[in-house]
Amino acid sequence: MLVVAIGYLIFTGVQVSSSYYYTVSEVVSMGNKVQGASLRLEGKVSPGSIQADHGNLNLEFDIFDDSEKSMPVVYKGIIPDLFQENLDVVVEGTVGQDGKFHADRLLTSCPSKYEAAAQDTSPN
Amino acid sequence: MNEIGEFSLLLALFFATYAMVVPVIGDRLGKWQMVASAEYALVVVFGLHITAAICLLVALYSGDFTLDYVYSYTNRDLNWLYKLSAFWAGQKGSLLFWALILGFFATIVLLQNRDRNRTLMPYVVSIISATLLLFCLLTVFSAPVFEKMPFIPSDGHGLNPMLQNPGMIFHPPTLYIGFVAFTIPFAFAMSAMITRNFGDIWIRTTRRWTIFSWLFLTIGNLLGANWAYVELGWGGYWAWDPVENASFMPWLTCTAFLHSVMIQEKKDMLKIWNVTLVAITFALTIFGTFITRSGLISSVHSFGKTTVGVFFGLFLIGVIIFSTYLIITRASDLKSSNELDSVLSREASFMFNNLVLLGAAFAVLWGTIFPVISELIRGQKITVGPPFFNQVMVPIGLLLLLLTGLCPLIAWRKSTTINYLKNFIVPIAITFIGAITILFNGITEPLPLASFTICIFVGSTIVIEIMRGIVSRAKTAEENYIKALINLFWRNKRRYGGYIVHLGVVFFFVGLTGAYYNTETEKTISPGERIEIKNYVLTYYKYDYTKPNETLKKLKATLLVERDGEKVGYVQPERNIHFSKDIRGRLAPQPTSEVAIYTTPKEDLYVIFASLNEDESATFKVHINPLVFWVWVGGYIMGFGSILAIWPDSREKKRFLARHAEA
Repeated sequence: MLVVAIGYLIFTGVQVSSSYYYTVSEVVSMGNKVQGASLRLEGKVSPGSIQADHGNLNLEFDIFDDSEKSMPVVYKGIIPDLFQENLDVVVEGTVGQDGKFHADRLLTSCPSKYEAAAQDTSPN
Repeated sequence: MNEIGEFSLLLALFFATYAMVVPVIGDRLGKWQMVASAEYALVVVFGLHITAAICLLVALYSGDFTLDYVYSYTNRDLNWLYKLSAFWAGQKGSLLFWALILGFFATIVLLQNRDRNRTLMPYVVSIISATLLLFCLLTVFSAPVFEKMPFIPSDGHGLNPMLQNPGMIFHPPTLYIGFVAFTIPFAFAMSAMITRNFGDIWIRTTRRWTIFSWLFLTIGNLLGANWAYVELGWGGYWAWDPVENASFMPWLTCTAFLHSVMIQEKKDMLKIWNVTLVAITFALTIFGTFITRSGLISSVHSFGKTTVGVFFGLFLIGVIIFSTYLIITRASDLKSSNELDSVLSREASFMFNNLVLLGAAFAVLWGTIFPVISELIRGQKITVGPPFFNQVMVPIGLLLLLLTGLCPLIAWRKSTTINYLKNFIVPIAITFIGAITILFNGITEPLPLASFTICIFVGSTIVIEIMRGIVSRAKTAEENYIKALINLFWRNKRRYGGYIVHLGVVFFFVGLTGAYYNTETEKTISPGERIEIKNYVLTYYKYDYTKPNETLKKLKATLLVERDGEKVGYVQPERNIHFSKDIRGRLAPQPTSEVAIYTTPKEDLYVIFASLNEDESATFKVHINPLVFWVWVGGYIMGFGSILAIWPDSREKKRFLARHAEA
């Protein structure tokens, strides 16, 4: 009985909160099909694309992945401390009618809690 | 120095291999000298790791930037404490640190068991050495901490400013200690299986190690939560991130194990179950390290990708196969002589508590590895976020809390209905009155109402149980109540330590429930303007700009805080810009927010300085987080209770001997 109860909780939990993990190129290639679905998108912040309006907490930028496809992102809210060009970020939200990604959450994956940040400044 | 360190690590690899292989051969051949030599080899490994650790600390302290590790985690301006704590701030150093602690614990085990458990010891030594060998391999091949820079930079890259917080000095080592300590119960349990010692010797020998491990896992998780709360500046303390889950899962199964061993000690039941729990918990400590360091699950804070994950993965598979094999082949000998007496017995209720804890661990595991599972089955990577965990874990958590109150009230074996009524009637009456009181104080939502009600119930059962003990002791020993209380606790440390932990759990849940009423607001205001949230009014007063050193700029805002129209003080959230030097000596800016928290037992006022604009207006985010204070209080009470439970107790020993003499 207990197993069933916990199983049920897990099952319904997955139903309410799953979001699909996509890369930028996947979303771009799917076009309108993904409009409105809850997505989780990974990519890098394109250099020179950041437009921040601190007063209204409005942030716009593009993210790109290895395939060099890019996607404009609109985010309202506090800009994370680590946010900068070329950083790996995860955005959660939906693709709007305007073709932009409207993010409710913006996560900066600091290369690690333990590893030093700003790896892009290391030599090579 | 560095060469000495590097060489020590290499030597340790050979000694650890020796200590793993030789005691088993020695035992099979009946050659005790061989076992003894392996024990010495294990101590030598510890000595070599101390040597390597000293070399690394010297390099960190003196700023020897010829080492890649020193360059990556420190710079000249860094406080010496953070320089030294960089030892465990990075992947490479933390692996050496892990090996160091394991060697230390192994040495203590050897000292404790010079004349005890001699049949078990060859295998204990071998299993601990096998685990140690994993870390030796990692420190030599996969993550060499003494790796040199291709050239000598003038200054280091610096420690990530987010990690420059006292919580970060203590949080990782505390968790590591918790993880590592659990190697000892695992080694003893498996050795008992190998040598077919099916009694509870291994449990008695490792009881303190288990609680010790549990204590450090508890405190480690709390410190992590606290660090996230004060440093990350998103207003919360737990986000169900894979890294957090990784340390939470073994905590859950360890808790289950702590309870189920009591059944084996007292009733000689659940033997297979206990061995299984030890194996699962140990596997989870490795699994946690594996997922966070292999890049298998993407986390907000994953480690750089290296071969470290592969080693952990292989070791994990080894642990699972090894322990499954042992449990299956020994299962028929582990059958209990006693059966469950009644569904309403304490054994049954403990069993139920165990299943719920294990279910909780499974739910967390499922949510954590869901992206991997979904990709395997449906070819589609799907993640589940905090809503999943909240939906699943809240009911499970409340059920567990309820059991915390119920289980101790249920007697061993069968008990009569009258007994139950007697035990339950007072707490239920108190709970009823309490529930009505909070209902009329505005807590009308079902979830918090249920949670607070259960908290009152559990709290009252514990307090009544303690009071009953005091009164009866005061009567029989003719002591005053305070003396009776102290003696009662001191003479039954294990039992009352447990009650204190349970009391901590109650406070902890009170704090968690407060999160239901969290509110937040975000506003851009000019000096003189106000932000209103709930019964607080914050007036933006001014900002200050300072530059303490070359690599740090500080912006500090000052806000006047009024509560219910009365001035209560100022909060000063900061926005700092740290500059870390890159390889060419250029400065790269990294902003960090230092939140200001005004704490009262009722609620936390949590203020984030989000940005300063050109027209001197500033953006603030303000949270009101009710009852967070009690999360930390509950945590420290849990810690205190478990320290009391592991404190050496001569009476416990006598009682145990007496019980076994009768039997």
